[in-house]
Amino acid sequence: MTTNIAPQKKTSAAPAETTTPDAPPVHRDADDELSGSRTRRLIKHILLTAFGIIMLYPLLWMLASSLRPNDLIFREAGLWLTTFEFSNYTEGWNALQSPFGHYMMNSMVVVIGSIIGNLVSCSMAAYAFARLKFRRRSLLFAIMLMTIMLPIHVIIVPQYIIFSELGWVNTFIPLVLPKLLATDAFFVFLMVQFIRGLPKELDEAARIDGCGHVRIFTRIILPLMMPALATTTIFTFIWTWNDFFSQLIYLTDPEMYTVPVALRSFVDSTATSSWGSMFAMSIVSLIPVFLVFLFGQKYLVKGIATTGIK
Amino acid sequence: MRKFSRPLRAVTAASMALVLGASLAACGGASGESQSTGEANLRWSWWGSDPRHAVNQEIIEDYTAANEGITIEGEFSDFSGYWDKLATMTAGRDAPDVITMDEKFLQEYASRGALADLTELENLDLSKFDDAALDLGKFEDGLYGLSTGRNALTVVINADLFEEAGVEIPDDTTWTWEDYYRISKEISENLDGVSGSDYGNSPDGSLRVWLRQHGESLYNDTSDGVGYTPETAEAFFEHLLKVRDEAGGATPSEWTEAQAGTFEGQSFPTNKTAMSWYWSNQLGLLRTSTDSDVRMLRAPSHTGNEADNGMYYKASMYWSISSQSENKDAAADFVNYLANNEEAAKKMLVDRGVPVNPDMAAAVRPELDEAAQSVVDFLEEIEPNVALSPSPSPAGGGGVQDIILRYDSEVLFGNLTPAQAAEQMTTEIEALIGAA
Repeated sequence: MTTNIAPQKKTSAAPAETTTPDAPPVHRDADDELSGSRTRRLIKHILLTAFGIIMLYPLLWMLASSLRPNDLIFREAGLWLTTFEFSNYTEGWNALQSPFGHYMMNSMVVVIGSIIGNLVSCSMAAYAFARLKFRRRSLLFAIMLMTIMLPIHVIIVPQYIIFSELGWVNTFIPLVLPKLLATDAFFVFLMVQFIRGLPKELDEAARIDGCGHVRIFTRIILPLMMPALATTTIFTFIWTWNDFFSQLIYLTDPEMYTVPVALRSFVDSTATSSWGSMFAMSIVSLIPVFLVFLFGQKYLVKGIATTGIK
Repeated sequence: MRKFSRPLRAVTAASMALVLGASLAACGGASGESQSTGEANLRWSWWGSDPRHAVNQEIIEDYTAANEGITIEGEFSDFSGYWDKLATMTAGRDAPDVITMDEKFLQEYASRGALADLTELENLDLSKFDDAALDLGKFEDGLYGLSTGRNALTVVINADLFEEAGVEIPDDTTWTWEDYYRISKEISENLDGVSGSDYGNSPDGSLRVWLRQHGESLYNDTSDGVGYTPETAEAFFEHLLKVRDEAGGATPSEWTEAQAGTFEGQSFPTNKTAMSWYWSNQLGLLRTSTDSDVRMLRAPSHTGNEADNGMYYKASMYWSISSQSENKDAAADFVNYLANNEEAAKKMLVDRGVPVNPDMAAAVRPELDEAAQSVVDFLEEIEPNVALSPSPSPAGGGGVQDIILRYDSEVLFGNLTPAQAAEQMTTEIEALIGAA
């Protein structure tokens, strides 16, 4: 159990450090090393560890519950296991119409499509906003940023109408196609900030050597943008993998279900639900996210850190 | 800040153009021609979990095998996801042809013209349904939902705990609320860690039964306001306090927690309460989860006369047909199969309530296990004394259950007096159904 905690805690602590701007205090800590900084560091670590454990508890409880028989799950709030019930995993895998791997494959198709879409379209849009001069650039940029503020519930009905008129409901197209049109404004913004941080002299040098925009983009900017692209990849993966609402709306045939929609099939609010199987499959569905985070972590930090600091 | 005003206007214009375009597209989609019954692709939506999906797939196979040219696609999800999805599809003029409806949303959809009037469809035979059953699906003058089967909110008792406590099971045709409090108190005193009763598991159901005992109802006949006097609601909250203080009821914190949680976490299914209120279709589940002899009783009354116990039938679900459907006749034929065909009834059994059509109820009875059979019998037994059933909740009524539950807890925790709670609850309910 304890060996399990260590790597997970690390991952959950990492984004907290990067997203909250606590870099300055860390430096100050190092500066006054003489005046009892050891005790302060100790307290800080104890606090962070305690906080990490609190944040992790639901996840660990889910893991423990996935190994418990169904009738024990809601009677035990602790993490200690008296029995190991692996049948939740075998039963959960086969409980729905198709084996659970089928839904994971569906999710994977959507996720990979979304990643490719976001990488290609957002980077091009970002290059245009950051480097090209065209009329009403700042106006369009502001409009693009405003789309971040539109909740999905506002756009889902018109979007649904469009896709249903095109006959694309119950396919993966409504989930992937918008990504190819640079609709994830957050990533465009992220990349714009990143490109603005790159020295313009590089572009100018390339221009003198005879490069057009296409070459500057593909040869100069894209290779330098790797951290931002990695961040986009990881976030797109996690957000798409966990997205429930649009997948629920657009996918109607159980054969097309993705992981979040399939997981919901285990629960029925009016009758008994197979919680054990659901928890077991939730754990299984977390593995890809966990792996992506584990291996992508260092790029993630780099990508965000370099866009924030100029 | 000034810099933002121009973009803002542009955004408004752009979004208006989008909505306009979308609604024009919608008009195009809606004007589809209606086809003959001979060939049709139908879509049928429902909520539920895996066993129900399997049963419905079998029904679809049976029906399509017998009706050449008809194909049916099932679309389903869990309860809360189902309503998100249905709302989007309906707004997108792409609603399924045959819709499984719930009492809370029936008027909401019907009042916005999303459902077809079932009395106008020739393929649907309603002759076996009595007026009381049809009334459950009426809105204004049309019939927009056909009851899939009926349930009733009943007192459930754990007979094993009664025996352990040495308490006799009362005669439910004559028992009064005083008996209810007394029995609850005796059990709480005689057994360790078991409370005699709790505050019910259907906040609106319990309140409705109470109001009906006083000749009142939750909503008025015109569905635009409440149908009760504040005094009666106040008396209901006082009754809750009586259960808490004088009848050894479950602690409010325990009960409130269980209401927010899962069925498995509630106190009756875990043998911590001997008497509670559940819908009749849950009897089988309660027996398995408690592993005890769980029985259903009629609600107690104030007078000791069973005719005054305020019990009512609720439609478990409804079959509705979308007004957007291009194949209403085919859809009606399929609903007719669901409602009037023995083969279909035998597949569904009492999963969606006890069939209202008496022929269907008789057909499924031999197929049922003992618990389900006793539900069928019980609902038949109470029939002579069940007065008219309440009409479906007004549009906006979907949130009323949560409001009632919240005021139940406020009173039980002592944050509000019964009079305050009755007044505030009424204001809130009226605002909700008035605004919709």
